[in-house]
Amino acid sequence: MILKGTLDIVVLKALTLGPMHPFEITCWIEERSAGQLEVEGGALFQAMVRLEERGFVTADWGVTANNRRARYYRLTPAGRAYLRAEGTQLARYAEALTSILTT
Amino acid sequence: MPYEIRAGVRRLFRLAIRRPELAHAEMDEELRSYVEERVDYLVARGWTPDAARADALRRLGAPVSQVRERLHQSVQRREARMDLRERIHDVLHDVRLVARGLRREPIVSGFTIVLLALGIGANAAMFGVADRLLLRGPDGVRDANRVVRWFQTERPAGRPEFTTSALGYVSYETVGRLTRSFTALGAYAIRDATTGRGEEARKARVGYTTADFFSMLMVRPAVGRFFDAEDDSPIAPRRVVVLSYGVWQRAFGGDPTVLGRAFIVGDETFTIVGVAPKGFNGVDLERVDLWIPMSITGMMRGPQWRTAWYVTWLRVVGRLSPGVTLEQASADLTAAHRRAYSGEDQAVARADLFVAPLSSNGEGRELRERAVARWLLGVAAVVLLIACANVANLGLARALRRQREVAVRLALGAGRGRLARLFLVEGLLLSIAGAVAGLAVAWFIAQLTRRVLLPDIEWTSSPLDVRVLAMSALCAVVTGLVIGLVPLIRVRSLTLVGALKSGRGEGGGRRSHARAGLTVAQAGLSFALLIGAGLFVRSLSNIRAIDLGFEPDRVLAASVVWPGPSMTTPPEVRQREAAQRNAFMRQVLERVRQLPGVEHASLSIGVPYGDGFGVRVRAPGVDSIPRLKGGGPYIRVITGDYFATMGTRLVRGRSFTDQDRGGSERVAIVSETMATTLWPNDGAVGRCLIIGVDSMPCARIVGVVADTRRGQLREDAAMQYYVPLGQEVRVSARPVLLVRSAGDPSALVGPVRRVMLGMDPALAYVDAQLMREFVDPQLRSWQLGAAVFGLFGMLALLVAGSGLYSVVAYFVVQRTHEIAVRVALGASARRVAMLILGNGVGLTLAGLAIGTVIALVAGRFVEPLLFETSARDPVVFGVVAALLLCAATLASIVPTVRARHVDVMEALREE
Repeated sequence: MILKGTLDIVVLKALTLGPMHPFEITCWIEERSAGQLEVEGGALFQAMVRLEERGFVTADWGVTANNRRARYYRLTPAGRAYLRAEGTQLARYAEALTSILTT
Repeated sequence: MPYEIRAGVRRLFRLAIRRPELAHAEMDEELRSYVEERVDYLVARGWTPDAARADALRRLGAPVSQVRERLHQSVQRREARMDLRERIHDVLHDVRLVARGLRREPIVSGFTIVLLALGIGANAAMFGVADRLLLRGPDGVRDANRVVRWFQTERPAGRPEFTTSALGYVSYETVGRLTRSFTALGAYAIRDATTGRGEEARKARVGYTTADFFSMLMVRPAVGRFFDAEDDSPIAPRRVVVLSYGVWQRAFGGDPTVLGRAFIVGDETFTIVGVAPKGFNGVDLERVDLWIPMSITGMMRGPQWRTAWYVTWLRVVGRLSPGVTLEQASADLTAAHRRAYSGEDQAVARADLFVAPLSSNGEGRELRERAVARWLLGVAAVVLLIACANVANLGLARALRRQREVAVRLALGAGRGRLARLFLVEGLLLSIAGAVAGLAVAWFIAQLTRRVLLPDIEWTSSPLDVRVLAMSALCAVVTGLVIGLVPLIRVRSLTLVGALKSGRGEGGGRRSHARAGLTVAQAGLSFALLIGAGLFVRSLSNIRAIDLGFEPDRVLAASVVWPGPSMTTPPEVRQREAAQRNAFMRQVLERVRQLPGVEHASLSIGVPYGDGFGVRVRAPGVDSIPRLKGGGPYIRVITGDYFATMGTRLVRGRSFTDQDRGGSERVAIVSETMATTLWPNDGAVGRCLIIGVDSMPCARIVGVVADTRRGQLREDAAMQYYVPLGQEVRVSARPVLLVRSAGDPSALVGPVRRVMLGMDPALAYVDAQLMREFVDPQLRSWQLGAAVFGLFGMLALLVAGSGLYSVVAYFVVQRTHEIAVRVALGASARRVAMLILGNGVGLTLAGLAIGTVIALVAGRFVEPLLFETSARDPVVFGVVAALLLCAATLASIVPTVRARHVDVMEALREE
């Protein structure tokens, strides 16, 4: 389960590596968290819609490695700025939580 | 790496995505692709396809249909919001682009904005005026279009019929009871009165009304209450008064504790019971300061004021029942009148009654000001049209200058839609800027119109109130669309090759026709407007030239208000008081004659534009004195200097001297009409009249004077005669002091007042007015027409002139090459000048032709508003045509002069 509100940041972080389609994003998150974070498809898509509406990502149709049509999402400058601001804050918060809960 | 879809296709998709079903389809495809990718992924890691699919669907979320549904909604919302944001972005971008372009040509842009400011501002101002006169009913009255006035048309035997709105209380009561067309009735009369005492006395307009007047109008008081039936009781009316909002603010500072306080009106004390709402003036547009129950003033008209049919002095208004038309109410009213009438006057018994809207004048027809207001609206619209045409011309010129830029843009893929949007944004930006600047123009024109041209009307709202602002905004939008669309028409037929190929040498073609056409239209409209101005000016001068029989310009009329006689004063006492007053006024006359700046002064009972009197008169030797159309014979009681003071011409014989007074030989002076009517063959001097009572000795006629107007600019003829002060019989009104000043009569108002108050400080009030103020209001509507048509006509001429200038200048630029060739081939400077001037003048002549047609057609509708002027007056047409041609020549001269400096060689080389 992913906490509400944090999925957006995580997705944005994923996109810093370049344009991805939703499944790629899912894979990346699950790999990077060593399977700890399981991303529900519906929630992910809602996040993508949100991010696109707020102008943090743009999307265009492309072709995947498997020759399938998929929508590729890309970070915008606004998204990058948002990630920088909120991402560090979230990380610090997580660190604090960790130190409290693991004593 | 994903492939990039080409820009054009992407845009196509964006276009397609606008509809929700397609957005849903897109989301479905994304979801499908997501599932399939996972399936591939799992299968690649050894899962079976079925298990992989099951897992993929599970990971999507459960139940899948719900997830899908919610995603559809989210996507729809996203599309809507992003769409809007993108549109706003695009528009802002366009605005910035357009603004930059306009800034690059500051003179043209500035000029355009000024033109639009004039056009839109003029419209806003005229709309404000027309709004008050035509559209809005009187303030405070609910559903004013259902409230109507009563009129009575009488057809007396042997005389022309006449219509009046002055009815008796008995009409209101008895006829009112018998009609069934009204939900409520009310009656009112407006009179001048004085409030306060001595130096602090002020003149006020008082509305005397029945108690149901206010409830019929459905108006609510701002403070306190209006009268009720007990206040207006005919036997014992209460002395209560309702203040107008303005008086409440001015005299009491808006103090809410004003109820119950005393207020002096005339020579009685009233109690304040309420304050009327802001802007309320009853059913008329002129200001009313106070409201008092009708019975208070009714009593002064004799004990039978409520029952006598000949005591007519008030106006009746009523609210029509739902669904009743004017015709039905009129028929009903006439029938009721026939049943109710119990008097003896056959003419009144046979009279027809009818109802007409509140905005009617005294004879049941539309107020002339309203008709003029309608024309003002039209005129302002025409000015705006001209301004638009000019701006469109400029826009076309600009579009032509940017032809290549535009063509290149089109070739590089800018949609025509996008270009259209740019032009529209430009048009709207210019017109909004023009509208904002136009507010100043509107304010100025509105103030001019209100203060100078229509000062009697109380203007209850600011010149820039909400309705006017809304109208300005509407004008701006419409204008912006129009001037944005005109260049668009040009763009549609533009091709890249054509644009790149075009050089300076291109002339003629559809392009010039559009601009020439616009210029001709402007010239035509300006011509029509100026014709209107000329006609009104002509009317005005015709009116001014009317011989009133006296010269009001430097005359001051001052009358004194004493506490009035009550009904119970016995006649001997009244006569003694009258004699005292006359003696007082004679003393005042002597004193005033010695004031500096006074040329002549006299007393008169009965003044032009004031009160008129008639007594029984017989002429020995003449069988009966005929009754002329204008009524009469009217009598005036004067002192010697009267004719010199008023500037009336003495035709024959002599005027009165100081020797003619009470006790000396009885003499009289008659007007020309009276002389020629009664004694056509022998002349009147030497004849005599028996005035007042039969037992009086015959008054010998010693002189004949010119006729004078009694109260209107155009009147039917009537007979007038004069007797000296002291010899009058049965005329007991107060004499009025008339003063002719050497200079400005208003400078004498203060000194005259001081003389009078100095001699008797207990006077209630001294009323001093310029004679000019009586005559001028009747000139108002023509002055209004002349001023507005004239102002707008001049504006139009300026605008059209500048338009012509730009067209001719462009013509020169276009034909530079051709001109250079002609010069090279030996054409003289004069021929070249003729060519260019000819172009300008030719356009103007075409405009004149069109303008003449418009003026002739519209003239038919303007004619009723004019005064003894034909709408086809050739002098006016001639003068205006000459004016227009002069302006055209002037406008064309500058480019002509410039053309002389064309460097032939360079022009030939450049192509």
